[in-house]
Amino acid sequence: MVKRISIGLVVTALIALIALPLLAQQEEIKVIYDEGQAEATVKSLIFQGTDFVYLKEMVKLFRLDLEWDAITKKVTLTSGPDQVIFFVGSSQVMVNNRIKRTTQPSRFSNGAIVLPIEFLSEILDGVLKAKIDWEPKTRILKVSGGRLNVRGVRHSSYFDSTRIVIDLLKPLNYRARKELPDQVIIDVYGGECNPGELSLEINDSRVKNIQAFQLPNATQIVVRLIQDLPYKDFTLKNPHRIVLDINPPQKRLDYKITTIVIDPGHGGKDPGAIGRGGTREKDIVLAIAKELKRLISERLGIRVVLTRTGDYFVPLRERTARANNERADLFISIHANAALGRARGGGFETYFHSLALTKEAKAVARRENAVIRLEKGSRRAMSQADFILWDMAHNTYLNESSELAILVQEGLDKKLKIRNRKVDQAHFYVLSGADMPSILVEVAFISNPREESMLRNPNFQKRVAEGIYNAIALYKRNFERSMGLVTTD
Amino acid sequence: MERKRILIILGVLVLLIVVIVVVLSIPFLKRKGVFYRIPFLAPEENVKLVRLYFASPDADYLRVEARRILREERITDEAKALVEELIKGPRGNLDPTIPPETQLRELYIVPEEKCVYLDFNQAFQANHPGGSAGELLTIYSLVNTLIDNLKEIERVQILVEGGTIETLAGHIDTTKSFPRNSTIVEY
Ligand SMILES: [Zn+2]
Repeated sequence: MVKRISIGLVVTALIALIALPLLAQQEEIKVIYDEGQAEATVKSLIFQGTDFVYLKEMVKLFRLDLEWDAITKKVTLTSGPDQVIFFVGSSQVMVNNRIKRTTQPSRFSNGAIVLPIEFLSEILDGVLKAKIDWEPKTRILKVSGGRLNVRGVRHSSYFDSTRIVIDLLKPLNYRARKELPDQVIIDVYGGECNPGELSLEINDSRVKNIQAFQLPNATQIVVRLIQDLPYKDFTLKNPHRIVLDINPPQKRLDYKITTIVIDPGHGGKDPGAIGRGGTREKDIVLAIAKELKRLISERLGIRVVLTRTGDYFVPLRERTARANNERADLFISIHANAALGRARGGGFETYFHSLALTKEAKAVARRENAVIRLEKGSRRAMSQADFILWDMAHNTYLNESSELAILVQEGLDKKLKIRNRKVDQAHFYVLSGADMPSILVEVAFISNPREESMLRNPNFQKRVAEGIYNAIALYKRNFERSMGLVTTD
Repeated sequence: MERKRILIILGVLVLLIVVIVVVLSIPFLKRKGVFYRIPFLAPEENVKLVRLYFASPDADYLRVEARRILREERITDEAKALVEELIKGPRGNLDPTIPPETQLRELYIVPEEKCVYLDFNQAFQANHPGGSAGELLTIYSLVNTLIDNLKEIERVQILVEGGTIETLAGHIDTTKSFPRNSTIVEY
């Protein structure tokens, strides 16, 4: 009889086990960085009293590289040289080839992978070299940025000059100097970095390479030049960064935004996406572009050029060529989105242009470059040229474009009630060739009947234009202010 | 005796409930991804388990649908089969990424480039819904599916009626081959 009862108990426990995942409770966790320097909120799910956070959100939050194998359920997280591997459903975690354990295993929730909160405070903190504390009572996750406050080094090659940008987590004092004619040394005081990640080969006509060193109380960045060239250094904000221009332009650049090109997508024989109610993308985006032009020229007094002012066809390449000829400071392409499927999408999103957006592409480029360096030119020269082209296109205006994209997405968020999808990057034919920061805004889904009727509404069109306008005004202010902060050597 | 009988009935009842709950919850749990779609049987020799990327219902991301297809001897035939499965569309709750009228005219692989060239008919472009999101989902459902399932392949080039096209519908650059993209995949 006892046996029967115990069978009954086991069965009840089984039912409970099956039912429990369905009873997860949704909560929010507040993330505070560096004693309140920044804050964020992430979603959490409570299973059996333990907080679980979404892997996807953590990857974004901590800038990890993620690899996922759906068949073996293996997750690989990479941050610089460190690697964390685990299988969803197992509480064993491999951290740099050493096995660690969490009391609760990672698991699926509605198809998404979730991690127990201790995964952050016990496992990720070591990998990220950050201090992560979880306070269950206040539901606050405290993250101290840890050692890595010198986050990265980027560069852009222009016709006459090379710009090197050092990304910082917070403002740090620094000194730039030349000890040898062909070497610029930058000491970032209090800087802590991962030197391997910051070192890069440039090999344009001015700069050979950049190497980073971690000194006891500073990060030292050595820029090796091809020949003796002048330099200029200054700092910029949002995000904090040190900028080093090698062979800077002699005459001062005009750091003002004076011309904006707005590109209403499609036109003429190309109607763009067509809604089920027959609404054509080309008509809607033209109306929005015209309204945006009115707002910008009236309120900011900036010259605005439209790539088309009526319903006619303009080839994609001519649109950016026009912007280059007009010496525009910004290029904004306006579109309405579409997708196949039942719901046919919904919401607004903003894209900025980038050539090789994926980490796979970067890895390929890096690998090819490494091969070249090892074999000293014995491989076909094409790959190196590819790599340099990739890197130039990847870096030029990337920062400005992404800043503008974020502001536009926020601007639209304040004006529109439809879903805020995301800021994303992709390689757009319509944006490539633009010699200025450029973005593409997908204002709503014309393939979604509800949003199609919104798009037809002049009021909605006006709100879209206002949202984008506000972002441009803010961008202009931020940009010109940051340029005003320039402190020369 | 009486108590014993009650216990037996009770036991049977509980068992019945368990069976019902389990049976009822399997499709639900499957849909929710609680157990991932892994067939219990070991793949037979002539069947291959493949990962097909389709669109999430809100057109945000690509997600994997596992499917068994016949194993092909030649890699080009296997690649063709994968594209055909993508054109057929998803069986589960995901959304299609390729216009159903699309036909794959030809497919060839250049081993030195580790690249597969997909040549579609005009309908692939003409019937495409457009939009940046729509284009990205179409492109990367093909790219990720082919690269994930064929270890010889690292890039995918899209062609229409035998030639390269600038874009599918006016947005993403399709003149060059694509490497895999993991940022568009939802896990
Ligand atoms: Zn469009």
